[in-house]
Amino acid sequence: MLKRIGILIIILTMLCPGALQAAQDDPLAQGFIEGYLNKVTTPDPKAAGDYGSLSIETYGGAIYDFAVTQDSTFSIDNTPVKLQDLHKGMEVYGKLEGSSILTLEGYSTAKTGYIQPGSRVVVGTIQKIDSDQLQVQQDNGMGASYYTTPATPISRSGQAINLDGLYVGDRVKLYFDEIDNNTVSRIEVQGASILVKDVYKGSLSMVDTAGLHCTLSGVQVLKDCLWQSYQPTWRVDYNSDLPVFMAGQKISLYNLKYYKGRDVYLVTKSVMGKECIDRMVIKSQYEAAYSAQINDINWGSNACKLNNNKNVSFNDGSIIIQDGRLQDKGVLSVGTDAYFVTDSLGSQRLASLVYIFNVGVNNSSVGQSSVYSGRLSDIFEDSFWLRSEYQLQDNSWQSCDKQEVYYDNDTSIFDMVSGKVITPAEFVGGDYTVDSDSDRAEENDLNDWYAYVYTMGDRAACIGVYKDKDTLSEERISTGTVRSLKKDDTAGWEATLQNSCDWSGVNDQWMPKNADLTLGIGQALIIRNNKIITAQSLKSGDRLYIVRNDFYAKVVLVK
Amino acid sequence: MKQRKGIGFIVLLTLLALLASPCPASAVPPDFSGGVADEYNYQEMVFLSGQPLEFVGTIKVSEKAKADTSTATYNFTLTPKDSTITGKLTRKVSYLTTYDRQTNIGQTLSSTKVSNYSESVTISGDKYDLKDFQFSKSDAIDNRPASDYYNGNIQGRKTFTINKTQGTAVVDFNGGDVGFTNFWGNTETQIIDYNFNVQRTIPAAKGKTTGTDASWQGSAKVTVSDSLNKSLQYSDNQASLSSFTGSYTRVTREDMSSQYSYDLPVMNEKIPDDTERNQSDSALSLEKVPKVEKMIIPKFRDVGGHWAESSINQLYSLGVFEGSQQFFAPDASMTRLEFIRALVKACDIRANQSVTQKTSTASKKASALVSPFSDVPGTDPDYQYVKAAVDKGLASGESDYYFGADSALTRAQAVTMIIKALGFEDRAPTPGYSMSFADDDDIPDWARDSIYVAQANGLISGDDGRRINPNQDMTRAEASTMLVRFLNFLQSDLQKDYRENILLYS
Repeated sequence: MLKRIGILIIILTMLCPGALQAAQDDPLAQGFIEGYLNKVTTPDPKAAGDYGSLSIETYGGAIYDFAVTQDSTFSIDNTPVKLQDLHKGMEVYGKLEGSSILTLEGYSTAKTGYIQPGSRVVVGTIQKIDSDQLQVQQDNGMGASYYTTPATPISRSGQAINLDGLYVGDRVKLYFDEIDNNTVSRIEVQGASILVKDVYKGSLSMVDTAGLHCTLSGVQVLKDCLWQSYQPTWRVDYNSDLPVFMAGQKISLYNLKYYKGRDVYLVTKSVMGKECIDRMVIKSQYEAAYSAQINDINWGSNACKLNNNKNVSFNDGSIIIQDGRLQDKGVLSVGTDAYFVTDSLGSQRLASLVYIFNVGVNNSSVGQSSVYSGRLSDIFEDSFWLRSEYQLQDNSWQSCDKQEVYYDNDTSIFDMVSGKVITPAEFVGGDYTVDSDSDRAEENDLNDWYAYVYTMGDRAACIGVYKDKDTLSEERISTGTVRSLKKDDTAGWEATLQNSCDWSGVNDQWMPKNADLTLGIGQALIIRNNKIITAQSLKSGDRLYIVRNDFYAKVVLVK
Repeated sequence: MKQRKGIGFIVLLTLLALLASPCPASAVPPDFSGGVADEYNYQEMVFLSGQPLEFVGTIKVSEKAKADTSTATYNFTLTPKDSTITGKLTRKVSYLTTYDRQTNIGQTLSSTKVSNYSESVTISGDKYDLKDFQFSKSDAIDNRPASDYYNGNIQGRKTFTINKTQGTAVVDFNGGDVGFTNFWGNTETQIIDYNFNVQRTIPAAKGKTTGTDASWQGSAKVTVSDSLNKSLQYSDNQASLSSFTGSYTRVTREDMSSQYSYDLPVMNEKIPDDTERNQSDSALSLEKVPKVEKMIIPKFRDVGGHWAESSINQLYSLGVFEGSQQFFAPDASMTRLEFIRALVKACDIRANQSVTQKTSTASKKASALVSPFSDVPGTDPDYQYVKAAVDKGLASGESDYYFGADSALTRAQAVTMIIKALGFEDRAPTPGYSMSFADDDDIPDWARDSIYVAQANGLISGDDGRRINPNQDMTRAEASTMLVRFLNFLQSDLQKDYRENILLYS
């Protein structure tokens, strides 16, 4: 009998394969279900023990209803959710317990790991600029390399700049469009508040930890590599994260009050309308100061040997200033010219302050700018040739081969004789180059003009044209910070610079001046952000790189 | 009866005094002109004459608030800072703000309009009278458990007559504001662009028939920030023979800063020089005298020299930790309930207020409180914290009916609660991402977003082995340190992001 029944079942099964398949596809039998959410019924708050229900349509088209229990769990793309977060039409996978849902996972995210473009932000200080790569250290000490593309917009104080407008020591906000990609989509650079305002020395007399002020007495300010009297007493603000160092050791702000009576060195910045201390070093021994060049650096012992045969060590607390910015000790290198203020005891010298003089035409290694001087010849619609050409290299004029320079409608051209900006059409149509053998040239005593050309690659960004040849051998390269501007009735616009240096070709070294430097700038080719500006557009605090002939500035690059 | 009248009068006077306090209670820049104020002084740049002139003087602010509206009235009396320039500015303006509270989603929409205005400016003999003032401002406020965040848009136009008949000065302005407010501080930063269009003719001199055209256009941008911040500072006891060695002080600082940049004509005797522009910038800053409040003296015997000593003492001073003053047991496990109680107490006074309100209500209706959790009954004094945390979405029970109050707190749980308190959980990427932690696979699904946001905002970081150890139980010391980092985030990280990171880069 059993044998017959068995044979009958086999025959029926063979005759109805769909029935077996249906049994195999039955979610209740499988213990799981995949498909589309057909309906979500939220619990009736009035009905005790009602936790809601779900209706799911399998991929095959069958519709099943399931009860929700108090132990049912739901998620969408691995994120835990509530029943009411599930939506009809959502693809789901559910585990079942009888006719109840045990767990149900919905799938919804179109693009995984997506963030709002620009919503990932890194704020930090540029440690290194190399080609399209920025090395940035965050305030928590973590550093990383980030990459720019030609399409990455960069702005400083809301004004567009190029990558070559960045300096090591700049504070930047980097915006990213993806969570795991270090290509920067946008860069904002801190404006003038990044610049060191002044360096002071004084005796710490009061500390107000609640108001975040400290008071110094006998205050002196560093001008022209000299400590000059500033104020008998002076109260200045600081931030709650002010770094304070003594003999290389970091001092907690809480303990600062115990150093009253000690001499301190301060670096200040103008931040949000007030002067604020950015770094403080407490003097522990005796001060010795030198203007010198670094001949050798031992990074193992954090020490350098100067060209005056003095050895000076440095550390994370040393105040190092270059390009108007506080810098990490990593900016020090052989050839650095600086004013060293040291905490000394006999032959032991620890740098409290290193004020670096070195300034170049370019702000960083990515800069492609050069300054040329020569006689104009053959001005075409988009290019011209310079004869007897000289290029400013390592702060002195070096002769170079005649070359073609390209210009365009965005090139700024300045007639240094008339003091007016001229258009490219006036440049090509004017008498800036002539055929000296022509009758017209002879009759009107016309000759080729000369030019200073500020180039980016082989493109002229700014051109200053002048009539009579300058004696380049008499020209000197100087740097300094604008202290004041005035218009003299006879000399025109004059700028008085402080903390200025002259380049000494003989010593191959920047030589600091111990007095202010006043220059006539009314006829100079003055360039800021690759554009010509007027003399009166200069501001107090602007840092300048200057080609000058004695009193008269010829080319001024605003850094 | 007379006595009652007298008391009523005193109360009325007190209320009036409170309403007419010299500066607003919250950190919001006064008006929309970029000015800054302390308790006594007010400073603002005025550009109506074509020259940037700093005016100084006083401001009176009165604020009235009702359930869904508030009114702020600013009353300015200013004169030029440069005493060689004759001038005066008087301005009185009231702004009415209406709030649309969407409590179901924890957001508030506000719209502000000007309800009353008058302004008169005199500079070097020229008088500018405000004839029309159109203004519209609207903010979206996200009300999160530990902090509110908001941003808004501002549009407006002021139309002045010049010496009644000599022309008009139209000042169009637009911009926005962004801010946050929590127990530990609040900051609002406004960025506003102004466009000046002055159409003016200076009357002909005697003997001449035609006047001189003195029209000019210009622009200015102001970024102004008002910021209030509270912080804890330790001060040691100057006397050695004392029952304690030191204590904490809560210091409240408030300051305002503004930065103006402008592009104006160069004016020669009120006539603009078309060949030159005056493009420059200036900054103003004023700060109030800090307020100090002494906190409870910590006297734990077992935290001296512990790496988390400072964090533990800070939290104890704030009244965040209860129990024995003798032993804190820094290396014992932190329970879920202890952490929630500390979080609710430390981060959000509004939670405390709601708890307090509920407590007072609860005292009347104690029997009405029913806890869904079997391990924290409604009669348990700690239930108010659990309820506040659950109501605000900071935490949920281990199941619907069991909270797990005494369960050890894991790092993932702590991070999740903190990020939910900040309301930052929605800042995580869309699901399906991984992080660079070595134990990324161990991060529970429910904690992944919070851990991402916490590490992206510098609240947590991996250990030396790049492990985040999400399922590791936290000690009381570790939890204390995390809470203090969280408070520092509320105190200073938010302030820096809403002020320095906007002002210094814009």
